[in-house]
Amino acid sequence: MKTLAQVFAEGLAIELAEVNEALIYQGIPQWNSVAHMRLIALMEETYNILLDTDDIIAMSSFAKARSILEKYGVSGL
Amino acid sequence: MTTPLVFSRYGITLKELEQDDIELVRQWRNDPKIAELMLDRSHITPEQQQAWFEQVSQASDQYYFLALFKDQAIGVASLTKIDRQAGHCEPGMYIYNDQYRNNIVPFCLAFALNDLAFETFGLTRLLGKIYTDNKASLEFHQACGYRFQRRAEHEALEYYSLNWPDYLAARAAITRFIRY
Repeated sequence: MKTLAQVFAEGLAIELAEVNEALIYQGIPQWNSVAHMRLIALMEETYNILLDTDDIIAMSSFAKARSILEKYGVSGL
Repeated sequence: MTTPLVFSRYGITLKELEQDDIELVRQWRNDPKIAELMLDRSHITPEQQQAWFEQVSQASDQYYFLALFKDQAIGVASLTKIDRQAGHCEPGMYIYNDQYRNNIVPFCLAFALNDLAFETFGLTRLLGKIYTDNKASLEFHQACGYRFQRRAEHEALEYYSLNWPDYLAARAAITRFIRY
């Protein structure tokens, strides 16, 4: 299974090396609304989950994404 | 005074702009983060805003809305240059609140506005003008189904157009994530 960092890199179309704990929404120009939805789609497909819309909106950083995924039983990423 | 038009979809409420809203909207519009997105980036005075609002209130070819999400005012949306005979108009929007500017909320707002234009106003084509260096806006328009039409001759602008079938396909790809 892809790591969360790999999913972020693919979803936001950035280098894997750019994905770190400090990565935040609006912190890089690539993280726009289109990339955000590409990331969400990839996350749902990769981890076989359906995210609540409020969680889609709340996913404002790499660290926050990890904690949201834990609510859906996805951990160890 | 007529009752302001109110339209709600996808968690967004579009409320036709009223007198009490215009100072908030002026302050948003003058913030550099919003002004830089505009074709006209000049500073707006209270007097200019009042004159603009009075002109808009009388016009039948343009509508401006306060956009609310979860009962909070988050931005402004508009349908301008409405040509009912030709069946087209130019939608416009911005979101002021940072937490809603780059996720699914801009799509919710755009789709509410587009639905209003296509379904309530009965228009058949929506038109967009995008600065060629505004990559985010270009990607957003394309994700909403807009197709390139032409490039302006004397400005760094490109013209895009959205028809109903293209819109439905693009909308479906995103609204599947709206689960309120």
